[in-house]
Amino acid sequence: MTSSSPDPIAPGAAFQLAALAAMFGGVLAAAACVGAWRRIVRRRLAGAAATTTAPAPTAARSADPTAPLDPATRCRFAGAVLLAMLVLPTAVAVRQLWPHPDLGWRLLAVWLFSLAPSAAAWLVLAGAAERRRRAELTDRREPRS
Amino acid sequence: MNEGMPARAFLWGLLAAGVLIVWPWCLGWMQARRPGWFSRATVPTREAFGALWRCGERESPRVLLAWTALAGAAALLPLGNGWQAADLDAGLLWLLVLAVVALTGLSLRPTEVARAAGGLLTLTLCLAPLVLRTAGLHLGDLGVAQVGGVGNWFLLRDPFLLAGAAIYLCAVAALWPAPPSSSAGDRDGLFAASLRAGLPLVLAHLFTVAYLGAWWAFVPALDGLTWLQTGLKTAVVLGVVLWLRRCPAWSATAHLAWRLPLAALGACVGAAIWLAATGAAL
Repeated sequence: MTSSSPDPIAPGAAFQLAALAAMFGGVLAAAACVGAWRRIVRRRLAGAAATTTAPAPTAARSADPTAPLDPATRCRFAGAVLLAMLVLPTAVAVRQLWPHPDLGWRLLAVWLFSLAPSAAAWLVLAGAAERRRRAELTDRREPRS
Repeated sequence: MNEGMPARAFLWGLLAAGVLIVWPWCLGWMQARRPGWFSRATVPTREAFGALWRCGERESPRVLLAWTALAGAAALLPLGNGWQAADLDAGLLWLLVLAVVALTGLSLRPTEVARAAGGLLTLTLCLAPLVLRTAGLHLGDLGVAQVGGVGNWFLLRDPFLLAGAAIYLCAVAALWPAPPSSSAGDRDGLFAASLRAGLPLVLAHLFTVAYLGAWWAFVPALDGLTWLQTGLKTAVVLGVVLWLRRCPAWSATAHLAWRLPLAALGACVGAAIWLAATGAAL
């Protein structure tokens, strides 16, 4: 009855496209897990001394502990977060709310609530990695003095 | 459409990707036990697969995209009525598009591209009569149309469909991916090996859904455990493809140039004429 509500293009199409997007999200999530697992296996086999015993996703991979966070690692982590926290909730929200006139604002709220815990986790892990790097740098400098 | 469909599709995508990752190891295990079966079908050994897992080369974006497409195609194929990632109205069309993307990941050498094009054309022409019979591109309709035992399977509906099924299997055998060639610049890696091993599996599953009664048993009394029925039939189809692979007369790559596509065209036209003449329906 509301004149502002958009007409659904095809009621089933939104469901099918959401399912398709979620399916590819699952495939990419599996590929990311496999890639992460292979990286761990390679590090164990190589026995790299520079890497820490519990590598965090934001841990720098360069030998210099004062180097900033690895951009590639940051990009991968951000991509994984976007995939896991945005695709599935978005698909569910579209499916449940279509064609609600406030769908856009509600999607924005879903994204903010989905990203908030990930951003918090990122900050905590980045802080822990930074503290660990500074401790390693301090340990390396002390023997020289 | 039911509640939680995107979540179920996500899990199906995870499952399909996991199966494709593990599948090369399964083939290597079978090759270790029955090496004669794989005399002309190149599969990585378990040791080679383990080495790829630990220290394979970095995957190119093209291979990753092709592998993603293949995993998507595998997730779209039904294991039972509604047992799939997404129940798409144009599922068969999506499947063929994803197959095209997956084939581009194998190799970009002109001979390989021509082989892939010939194979894809043959497969499409073999599936076209089924689209005519079900009047749609819905994968679930292919399965539903074959309920009622082996007599209702599309494989035995008319002689031209039987010919189309045989041509389909020959095309899959001819399309069995060749090992990577270092001289051509192909890179090997875990996802590339999974792509090469998974392509025949996905095509065999599609054959099961299209021609072998999908998830229905030989006799209606045995209907049930749909995933088991589909899995067993897919395994049998793979066995037939491997047997054809050992017969160069049936599975030579050169057949994909014009013989198999022409034969598939003939079977397609014949099936269409048979359908029009007999008035056969679902």
